[in-house]
Amino acid sequence: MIRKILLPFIFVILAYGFWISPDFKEIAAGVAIFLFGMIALEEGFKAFSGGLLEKLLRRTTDNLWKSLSFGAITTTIMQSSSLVSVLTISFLSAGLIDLAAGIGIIFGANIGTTTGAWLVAGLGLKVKISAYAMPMLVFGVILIFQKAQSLKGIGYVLAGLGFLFLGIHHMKEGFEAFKETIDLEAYAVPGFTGLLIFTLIGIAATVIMQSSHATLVLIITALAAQQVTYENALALAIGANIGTTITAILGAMSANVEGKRLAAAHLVFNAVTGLVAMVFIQQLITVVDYLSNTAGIAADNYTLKLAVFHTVFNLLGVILMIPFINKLVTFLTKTFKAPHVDLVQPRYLNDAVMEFPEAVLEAVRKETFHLYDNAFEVMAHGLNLPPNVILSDRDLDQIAHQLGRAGHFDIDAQYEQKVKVLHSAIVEFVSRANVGMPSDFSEQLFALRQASQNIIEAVKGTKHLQKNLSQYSVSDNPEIRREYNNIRSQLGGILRKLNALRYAGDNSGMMLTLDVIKVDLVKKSSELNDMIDGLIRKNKITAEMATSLMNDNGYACSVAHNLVDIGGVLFGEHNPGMNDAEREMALDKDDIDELIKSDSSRSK
Amino acid sequence: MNVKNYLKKMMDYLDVNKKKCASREACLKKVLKKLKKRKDELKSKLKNEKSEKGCKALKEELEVVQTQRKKGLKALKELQKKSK
Repeated sequence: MIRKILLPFIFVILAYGFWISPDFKEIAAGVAIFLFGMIALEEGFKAFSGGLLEKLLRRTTDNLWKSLSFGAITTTIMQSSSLVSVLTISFLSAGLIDLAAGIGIIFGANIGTTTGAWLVAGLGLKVKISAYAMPMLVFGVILIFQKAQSLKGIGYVLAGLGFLFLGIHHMKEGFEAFKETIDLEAYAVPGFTGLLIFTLIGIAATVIMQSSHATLVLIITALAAQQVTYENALALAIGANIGTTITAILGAMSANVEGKRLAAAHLVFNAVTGLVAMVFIQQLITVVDYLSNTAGIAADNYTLKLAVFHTVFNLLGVILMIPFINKLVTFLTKTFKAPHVDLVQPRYLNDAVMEFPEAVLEAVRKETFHLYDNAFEVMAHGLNLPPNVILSDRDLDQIAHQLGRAGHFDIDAQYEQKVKVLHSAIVEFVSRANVGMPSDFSEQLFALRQASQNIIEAVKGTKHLQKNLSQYSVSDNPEIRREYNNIRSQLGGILRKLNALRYAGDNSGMMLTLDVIKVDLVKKSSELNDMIDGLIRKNKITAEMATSLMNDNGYACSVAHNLVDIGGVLFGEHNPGMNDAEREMALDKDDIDELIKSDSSRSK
Repeated sequence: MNVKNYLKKMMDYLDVNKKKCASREACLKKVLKKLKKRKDELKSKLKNEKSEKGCKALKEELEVVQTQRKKGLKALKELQKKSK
């Protein structure tokens, strides 16, 4: 209800403002252009990231100082702490980083965001920034129309920076002209009341604009035009710092419990930092004056002193909170309890990961593994081979022939509850996530969706096998009993091999290793057909048993082929280039037939 | 001369198709190297394998690896011919 009213309300206020003051129009347009610049910058960095972001994140967040540095540097480059927060929540929800690393990145982002104030106060106000903006916009837009992703990315970054500079220019001009009509400094509120009121205004402005950078630029340009007092500007800056947590909170609403914990950590950190800054404002002002004097900043250069203040109070916050990170993690873990792990519900698919292709891919990959683990249990029980036996080193041939009649295992119910639900969730999620995704990520997503389909087919094949397996694997007829137990040990063997490949460490060449299984399957299939003919001729099995065996052999082959296809996608190389190379060398049907032919002619 | 080389390198970097070919060639070579390593490992295991069943399995795997290498070398040769 509030959302429905809010947007029209904001439009009405803005329209009224534009009507009564053209200078307000220029300031608002400056803010809009600035925000658009940030969106373009975001697009630019996303185009560049690819798998690089994922690799960087894994390597640079295994300890606190690395996470802090990562947060600070990426925020400085991207000039957006909101983007870094959303990125962190996305990657945390996909399980790419843990909570402590995420908190470290957020702390670092708060330091990195202070560079924005320095850039605007130190550069933006001193030079004719629009002169730089125009050529950046022109070159940027030309590059955006190029085919190559890297050039497009550079284009978005250039255009984004151009819009940023243009936005700052219009805000500056707007406030300068505004001074002629209304002197906002007359509305300054001194003392603690002013501190509180302007902090709240800072929070409100940042919540509305969803960008602390935009709020800071507004504050600095207003301060430069003496539209706001220095003390009130400091309060606005504190408010902007607290208000910026709204982006993380909104982003975490669609995240899993880990994302929510991180958003809460962000809010706690910024709120505590803000509170400390408000309580010790006078002491901080003294420190800022001392540091500014030491650095040669003039006493009346309030814009630069604001930048110093912004840096000092964020650094103070980080220094205060670092010793309590582990306690914070414990507190958040207790407060935001993970829901009971339900086998049937997706664990990793949530809307928070949709922001970044790498996070989407990782979430879908993890969920497909989750599906595979469930399917493994169902297939193992369907084959009457306990999962722990399949995963051990024990002789499967021996076990398969030894085990007695299977207990009742309702494979249909298990399939509906543990397998089909997850597969449906994966299919639905991939369909939604694929919109606007780069083509190389799209291909990988579809490969994972196909793997999920292969898992379903493998379980369904096992379902078909189960009835005759449970009957004939304990049959009095030794021939049919042997053949059905061979099917069980063969499929168990493939499951075991896949498990070994999964945990082998080096996943490259995986697809090619599976070719050995494919060749073996084709060989055994043709041998079985000859063997069945022999058994029928010698009256060792009935015709009914023979047809059941032939049908079930077909199902077993289908299960085996599906398992091999699953292995190639899930346990293979994640690098698309390496995958394509392996696919080129993988044996096709003709290669396999040729191999088997030459092998049988050699043995003759 | 240096300027010409730098310009050529920059053009190659910006040429999407050339980049794709170079990346494909690098991946093919990497996989071929791993297959060669696997082939040598299997040959060494075969020398020390005593059981008939074990020898048979190793020989089968070796044949598969050799066929894969043959395919890979053919693909690499064609790619190198194309890029010239």
